[in-house]
Amino acid sequence: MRAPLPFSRLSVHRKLILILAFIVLPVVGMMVLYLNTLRQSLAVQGEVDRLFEIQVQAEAILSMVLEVQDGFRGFVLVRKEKFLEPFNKAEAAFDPAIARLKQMVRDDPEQLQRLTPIEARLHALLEKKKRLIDAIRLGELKAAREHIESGEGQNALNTIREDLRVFESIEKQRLSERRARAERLASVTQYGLVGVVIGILFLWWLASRLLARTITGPLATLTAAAQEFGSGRPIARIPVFSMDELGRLARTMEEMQERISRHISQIEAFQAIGQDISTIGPDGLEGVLKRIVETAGNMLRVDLCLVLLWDETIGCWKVGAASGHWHDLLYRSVLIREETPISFKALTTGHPQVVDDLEARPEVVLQIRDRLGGKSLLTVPLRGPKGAFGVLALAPTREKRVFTDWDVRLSQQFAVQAAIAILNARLYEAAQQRGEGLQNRLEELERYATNMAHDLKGPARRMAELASLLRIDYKGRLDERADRYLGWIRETGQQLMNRIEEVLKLARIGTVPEVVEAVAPADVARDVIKGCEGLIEQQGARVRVADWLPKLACNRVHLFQVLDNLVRNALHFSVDGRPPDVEIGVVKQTNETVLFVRDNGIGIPSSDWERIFEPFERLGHKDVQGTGIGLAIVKKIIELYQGRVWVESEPGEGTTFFFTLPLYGDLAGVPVRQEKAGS
Amino acid sequence: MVEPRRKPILVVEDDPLDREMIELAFKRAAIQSPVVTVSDGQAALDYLQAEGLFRERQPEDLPAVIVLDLAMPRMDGFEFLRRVKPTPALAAIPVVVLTTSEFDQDLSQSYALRANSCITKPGDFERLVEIVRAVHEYWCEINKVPQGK
Repeated sequence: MRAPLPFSRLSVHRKLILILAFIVLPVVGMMVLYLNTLRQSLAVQGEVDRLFEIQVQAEAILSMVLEVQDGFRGFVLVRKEKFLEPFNKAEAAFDPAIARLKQMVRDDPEQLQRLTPIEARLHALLEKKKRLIDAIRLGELKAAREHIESGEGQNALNTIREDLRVFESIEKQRLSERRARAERLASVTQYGLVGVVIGILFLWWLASRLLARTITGPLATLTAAAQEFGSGRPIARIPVFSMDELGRLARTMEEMQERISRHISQIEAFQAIGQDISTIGPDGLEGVLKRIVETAGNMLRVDLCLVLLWDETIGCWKVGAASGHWHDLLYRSVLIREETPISFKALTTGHPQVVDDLEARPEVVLQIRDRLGGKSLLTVPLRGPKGAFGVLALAPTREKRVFTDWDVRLSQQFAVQAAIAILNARLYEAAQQRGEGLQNRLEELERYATNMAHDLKGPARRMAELASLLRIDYKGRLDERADRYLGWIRETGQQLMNRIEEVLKLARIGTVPEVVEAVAPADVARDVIKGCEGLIEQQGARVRVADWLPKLACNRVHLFQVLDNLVRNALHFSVDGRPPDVEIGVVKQTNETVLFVRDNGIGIPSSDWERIFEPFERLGHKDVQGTGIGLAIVKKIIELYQGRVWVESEPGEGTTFFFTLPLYGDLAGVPVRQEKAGS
Repeated sequence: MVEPRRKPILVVEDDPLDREMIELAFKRAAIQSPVVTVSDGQAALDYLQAEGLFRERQPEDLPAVIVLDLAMPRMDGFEFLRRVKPTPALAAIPVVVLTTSEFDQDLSQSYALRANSCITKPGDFERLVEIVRAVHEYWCEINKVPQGK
């Protein structure tokens, strides 16, 4: 991790300006330097030109002085006016020449000063000469000769020449100084240029490093983080710590990713929540409602959460559940509509209502604020097929809460689940109550029927006993018809007893817990055959049992009852003149093992295949023995074990009863070794 | 010739017709032992403990066998068994349950309460006579109980 530099506090914009300045400033400096050198050399050039001019002017002045001198001498000697021409010309040229020189050194007072005596001397020389010329013209030659002989004019000329030389030399010296300076500057500029170029290169490198460190590097990190997050891996911290826009972007991304992660986890939790709240436990609807408020409170981090159910009949809210300790206080209490306008609006509009600050409207009576201390409120309608039937109210009591769009949407989704859970629980409770009522009535009826049957058995028995007593005691005293009738009374009483006993047997199946054990059907079949021995013998029947039958997991007596009823049935409904042939066996069908009892009897038309299992639905011959309840007993026993029993038959050919009972291996979870069981 | 005093047979039956039939059956079976009939378990218990109506009963007149119906008002057969069988002095008296019920659970419960035998009422008088004869023969002649002297 890099420590934040002071530089990193700057915004990206400032950083770019700074980095640009790094490079631009030296370039500008270099240009200034170069321009300055150029200016200097130009100035030197100007100076050289000026000096040349000065020299020219000085030479011109000197030559003019010489010409004046020579002309004058000539005039003195020959007195011809012609020799005065240069003199006159020079007189006219002197002043402009001097003025030009002055102009050239106008910025240099020293040099200007030096020109003043030269000018004065020139004027003095010219004046002297003029006076002498005038004198000559008047014929006065003596003064002129004296002047020439004295060499006064030559001296003045020499002085002027000397003065001009001094003037010139000073200028020359200045020029050479300048030139030296310009040359120095030029060489400095040259080195400076090289230095600046190196500097620029260095700064360019530095700037690129800086750019990389402060902009491109963080950008790459952010991109990587975005990709990482995009591919579903959560990132705890994005290592960009500058204080600029990129740093802020990193923080924003972190915040965003945290929020997205939170939302995702909320959505993930949602499914579990849906399942959790809609599970109807022993606490029924109340438990569902309680779980809804607790879950909603946890999910949206709100301490007070209510389910308000709108009661159409009284036009009031009833508190279905409240979170935390509020539940005991509020459960089933009533809130009136005028004091809960926000919730009522949610109910009537069907849209969530959000109030961030409940205290902002003190004039409105709000139970949730005034009585429960809610600071903010989010109410979401709970909607059923016939519109909203209540609201879910979330009211933080500790501090105000600004519910975000996400909060509202999440609570809406939650409300959908909650509404379904509530409706389901209501339906379930209603069904439960109805079912319980039905069950109770059924049980009562069953008890009543059993008791009645039981009570009827005594009188039937007594009737039979009395009839038989009468027959014995009055034997010989009654005529043959009375005796026969008494016999019928006895038999009817006995039949009634048997029938009632069968009914009671049927009613008792499954009412008493019976021991489920591993039963070998072959053994039971043997007992059944033994029990029917008389009947078998009487009919010349044959009963075969398959070599192998699977072990069953049921009550032995139940299996006995099933096989006994089926075998007796097979023996009873035989075709006259054809001895019954009964077979007990097993077949494997698609995925179950089915036992069967097959006979070669009279058969059953397919229209009766269902009806024969109903109690007292005996078909066919009335003279066949039996109570008509045997198959009903079979069916009831088989169904007690969630098995199936059905019949297939060809009238005149025979009938096969199929039934399934749990296999012993199924019960234990391991297949039992297949045993051979003889018939 | 003085015969040794025969112990009585106690018949506990609430239905008057059944009571009469059983008494008659004993007579027809030519059983000499006196038959005492009571109409419910409480009366039978009073008899055994010589209380209430039976305060005057001779102490040696404890029954040789008790023929017990199950469904009775006041005190039913099960309750009677529950009171009698844990009492050491009465435990050895054989109790034959004679009932209309063929319900397995009634039989199991009777045996669990230490009834000595269970018989279903037959619905035929001749058969009833055979039954009481057999009961007498087995429980009063063959079966041995401590003499309790």
